[in-house]
Amino acid sequence: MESNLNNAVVLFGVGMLAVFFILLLVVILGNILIRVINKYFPEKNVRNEKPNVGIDESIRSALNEVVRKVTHGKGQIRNIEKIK
Amino acid sequence: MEILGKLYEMTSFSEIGQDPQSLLMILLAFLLLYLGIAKRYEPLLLVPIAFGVLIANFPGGGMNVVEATTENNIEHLTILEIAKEHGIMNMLYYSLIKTGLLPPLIFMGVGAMTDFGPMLRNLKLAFFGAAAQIGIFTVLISAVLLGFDIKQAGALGIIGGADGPTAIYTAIILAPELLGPIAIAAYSYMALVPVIIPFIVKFSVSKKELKINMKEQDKLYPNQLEIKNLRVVKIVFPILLGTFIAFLVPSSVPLIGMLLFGNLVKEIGSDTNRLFTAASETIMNTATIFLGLTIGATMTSGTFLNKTTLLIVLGGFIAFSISILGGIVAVKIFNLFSKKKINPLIGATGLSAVPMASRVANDIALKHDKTNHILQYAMSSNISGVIGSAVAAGVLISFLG
Repeated sequence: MESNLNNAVVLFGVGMLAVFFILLLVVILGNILIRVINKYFPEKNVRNEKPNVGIDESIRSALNEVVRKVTHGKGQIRNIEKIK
Repeated sequence: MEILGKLYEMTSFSEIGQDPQSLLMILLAFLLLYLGIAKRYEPLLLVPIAFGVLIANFPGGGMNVVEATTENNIEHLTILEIAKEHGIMNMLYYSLIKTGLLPPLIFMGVGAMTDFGPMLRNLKLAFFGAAAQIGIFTVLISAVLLGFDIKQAGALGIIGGADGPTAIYTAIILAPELLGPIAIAAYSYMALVPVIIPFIVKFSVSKKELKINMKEQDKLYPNQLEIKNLRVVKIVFPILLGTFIAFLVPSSVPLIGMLLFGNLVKEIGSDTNRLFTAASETIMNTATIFLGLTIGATMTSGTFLNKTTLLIVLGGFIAFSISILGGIVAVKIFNLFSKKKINPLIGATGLSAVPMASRVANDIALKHDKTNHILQYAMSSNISGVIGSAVAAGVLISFLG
């Protein structure tokens, strides 16, 4: 019982550290990846997306995703305008 | 009279007389079916599990899973011999569940249905997915104190990860004898996320904190890192992450590796569309049916109606609650030191249960501020919670398996 408890306490420390470390790695890797891809492989239509003032980022990415799915990755959104 | 006696023996009545507790299990199956069908509590899994319980407890049906012992030597029989001697349910159980095949296949489907986009856009929020794993390890200690064997305690604690396939995979390796109750507890609490999260939030988060508007915070302190090619990032990310995790926590690879593979075939797009459809629909659905039915079939009166099951159900709830609270507390601590405030509901979604936890958090935020749409932010910690719970499972398996 006592050795089980000791092992459980050790596992608490090791487990939480491992989870934090892996997710820290996710954050670091993600950041490095985004920076590298931004520098060497930026999407050509990024500038075209900029004028979409007032369009929420999450809506824009959702629409991009829909177009990508429907066109099997071949289509792109160049401009989004709100219809009054 | 002799014919009547034989007819009586042919029916199940005589066997029910010998084991009346099986009637209780049949009633439990009806209750689970009701919850799955009428109340829509995780019907995709609860209905097959409930039906598995039902057919396993029909006396004389021979559809219950037989525990492996030294007498029956079942683990050393061939698939054909198992089917012949113990029936098809045991053949399915020992070939699909005992081998640990189905949970990774389900993880592949989960990966194919997961979008890492919200997490990549809000990478810092991924940390709260780590904090929310505290319930797993807290309950591990509590379960040892309650007298559980440490392997069983690990399998019980993993319910706090709120991830059905992870809980099942861990239980298969650490405590297969507790698989039925652990699966039921894990999926029941996942289904009860819309009740449990508001309950914990009510006692731990102030109204002022609930009104923290994430978009306003983003405007005040904008994210400095804009993603200029999300599609390429999404394709490279699973490859890179999978490679690193394979080196650091290899025991989590069966789950994380399959999750990331499923995600990769989704993100590649049209070139792997057929694989994506197979992973997210055909294989996922087939695996779900067999997983549910076979786990249900492990739940007979002898294995389920005991004190251990009650403790698992109670321990699972505590693990779940502590995980939610852990995420909330982590956000509160972060807010003490940061100018950019984060809504504590983001922390509450650090346990897996994707995407239900995020939807529930979003609904609570909207109740307090109609403009506060936090779904995208909550999804970040929610998805990282899936990775976190799989890593936690990997650690438990490496140390205890």
